[in-house]
Amino acid sequence: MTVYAALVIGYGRAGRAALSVLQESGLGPLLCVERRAPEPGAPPEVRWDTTAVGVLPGFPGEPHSVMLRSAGGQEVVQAQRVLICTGGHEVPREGLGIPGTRPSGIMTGVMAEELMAMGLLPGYRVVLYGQGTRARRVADRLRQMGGRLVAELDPVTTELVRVEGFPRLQRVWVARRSHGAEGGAGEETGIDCDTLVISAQLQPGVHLLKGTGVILDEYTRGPQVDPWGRTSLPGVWAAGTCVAPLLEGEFSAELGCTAAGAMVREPAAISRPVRLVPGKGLRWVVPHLADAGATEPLRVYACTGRGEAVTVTIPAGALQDRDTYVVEAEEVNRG
Amino acid sequence: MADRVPTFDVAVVGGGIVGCAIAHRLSRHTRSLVLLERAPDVCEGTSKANSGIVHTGFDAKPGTLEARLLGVARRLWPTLAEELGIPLIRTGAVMVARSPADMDYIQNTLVPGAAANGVEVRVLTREEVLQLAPHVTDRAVGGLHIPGESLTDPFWATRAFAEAAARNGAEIWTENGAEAMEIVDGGTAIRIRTTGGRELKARKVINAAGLWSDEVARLIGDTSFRLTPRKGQFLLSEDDLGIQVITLPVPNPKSKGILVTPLAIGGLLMGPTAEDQEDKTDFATTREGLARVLEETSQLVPAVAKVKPVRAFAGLRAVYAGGDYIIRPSEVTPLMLHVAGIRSTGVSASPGIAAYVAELLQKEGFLPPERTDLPPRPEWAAEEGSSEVVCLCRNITRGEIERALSGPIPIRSLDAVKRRTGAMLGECQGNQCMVRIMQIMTEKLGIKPTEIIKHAAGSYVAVAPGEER
Repeated sequence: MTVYAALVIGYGRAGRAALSVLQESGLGPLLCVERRAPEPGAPPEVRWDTTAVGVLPGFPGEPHSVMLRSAGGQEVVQAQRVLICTGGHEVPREGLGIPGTRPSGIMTGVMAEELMAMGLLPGYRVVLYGQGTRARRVADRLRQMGGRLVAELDPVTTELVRVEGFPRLQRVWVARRSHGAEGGAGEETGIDCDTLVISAQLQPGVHLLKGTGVILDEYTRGPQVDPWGRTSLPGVWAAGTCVAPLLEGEFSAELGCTAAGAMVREPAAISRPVRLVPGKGLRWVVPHLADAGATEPLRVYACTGRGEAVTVTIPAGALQDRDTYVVEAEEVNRG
Repeated sequence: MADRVPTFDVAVVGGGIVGCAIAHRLSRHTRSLVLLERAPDVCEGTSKANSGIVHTGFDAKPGTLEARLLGVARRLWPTLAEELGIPLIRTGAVMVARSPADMDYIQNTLVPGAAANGVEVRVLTREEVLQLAPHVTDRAVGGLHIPGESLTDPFWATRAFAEAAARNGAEIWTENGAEAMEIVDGGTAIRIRTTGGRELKARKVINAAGLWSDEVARLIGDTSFRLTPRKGQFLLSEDDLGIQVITLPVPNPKSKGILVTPLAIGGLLMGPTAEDQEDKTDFATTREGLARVLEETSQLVPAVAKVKPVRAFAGLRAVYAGGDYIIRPSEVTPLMLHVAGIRSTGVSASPGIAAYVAELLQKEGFLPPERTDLPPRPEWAAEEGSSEVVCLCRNITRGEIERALSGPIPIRSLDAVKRRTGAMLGECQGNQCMVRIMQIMTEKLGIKPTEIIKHAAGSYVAVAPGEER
């Protein structure tokens, strides 16, 4: 049975960048699995239409086992190094905690796009609650197909207060966000509609890590990683949107390259871990662990409360003698 | 005029867990049985929105019919679960006392009550509580262990009862609620017109319409009882925090309190609230209600404050001011038997209720003896079909979806697929796989995607461009 030197799970931005770094390094054999249907131009190491559904950690020094499923059946492959690049998905209504009835007609952008790709509209009168490329694509496609977009709401300035109607959505209630005061929303306005498309935030898709004991970060809810993309499980790395869940995947390729480089070089483990946590005004930071004794400045990726991708540079020595370092919004690199 | 209306021995009105358990039980005596359900699938009312706990009935009021039938159900559940393949997980429950008054209530009310109901319980010290349930608040001063409390999947159980009834020859008419009734044939049958425009006659009508059973009684002019809805809001998380035991607060006079329980399908459930209301169609969750669920359960299990709920929902239980179950013939006609007011123990007591209904019908000479021609239990289907993963969050394959679509109860709703497979229940709440499931439904069922619904009639999921509404 082949034992792969490295298995990359996911061929999105991060997976693609990582695979190319791994190929150049001469490490092999390599395998990359991707759930989507085949796309042209990919290297032969990519196996399409294949979903990784579970990771069984190997004993120390032994390869990990990864369970794969495809139309043809189920298979277990072994790899010395595993890189998780499984991306993320839009947080649905339930994850955003929007109360009210449970009608049909509430969906995220991906579902609206898939319906329109089938030649169907998601509904008659659509409210779009979102920001970013996918939200814009949904709006454009909807107009092209003759659908009615009754409102486009920006999640940064607007709060969805509740939904109404059964069996189909009839109205959404919104309020302007008053920034600074949590939940202190202004006056509520009702918008009549039969469809609500949400594309406001992403969350990591890491179902295949269930049961592996890989520690998840409490802010991103993706795997906790160090500056080299190492997770808490030796031999398992993570990179891309599943680590830094941003609607535009701004840091995905960079994180993929870093992790792949570290899979080749295998830098020494962190001797004195410092936990990095987001300060006020930041949703999350990546990495989540760093070395107190680091002699180089540390590049930290972060997401602001408004969903913007930013970086912070922590100067060399700043982590000395600390257990926890709070990354403040004021430190964000400008310009 | 020739009367071509189909005639049945028994019509069970209501495809909740109680109606389905009754249909299953009675189908062992007669093939001439129809189950009428207004929704497009069974288990669309109170049966789908509850804690999923099979209660022992340790805290039921001794001497009530409810306490008695919970006792019967307790004996029947293990065999039924085995026979029908229903999950039944005996986790036990720990009730957590947080004050001396709580301990008094346990010692002086619950312990004697459990003894009267024949349910095993054990008073716990603080140390024992924290040992059995390390996740509970360190404010615990003691508690009560109820080792017989178990979990089931109410969707699974309801459907298993309905499918077993169908295998025994019963007809399941979904999208056909009872809309009008008339006593006919010289007082020997009830003629029913359904919401689906069908007609039938039945020599016995079992009114198991849950929250709506007072309305069904009214269809034959019986106004002898009235039910009001009590809303219960729940939060569900995928992460179970390692909690393996049902964790209960000490009840107060109004409610059993808001509890934390693992689920048979995985994850953790917190709820319910108890909010009396008038509207039987108001299932909306509210910010205040959900905040209360989190606040109260985090006082019981502090780690709950950190969980990320993947879903919120509300159920309406049927409250009868009389307190006990209403299981008796109608005051208007002996042709109708009411099975109503099953407030919050429907899942737990359903096998006991079904056995009791069979007993009543046998006593009055209506029900023939148990059939000898019952079909054997089917072999459980082995994993077969395509293993292409459709639902990523919960790792559900195309093969599993296709099998669900070929079951004995015809379906056309996404929620029916969800309940049969567990697909669409994960973190993305089906947004990544619903369109693929719709494609499989159009292929397998021969329906258009615009005919697929989410749960109730009118809950369309997609529309064709160019149509106006």
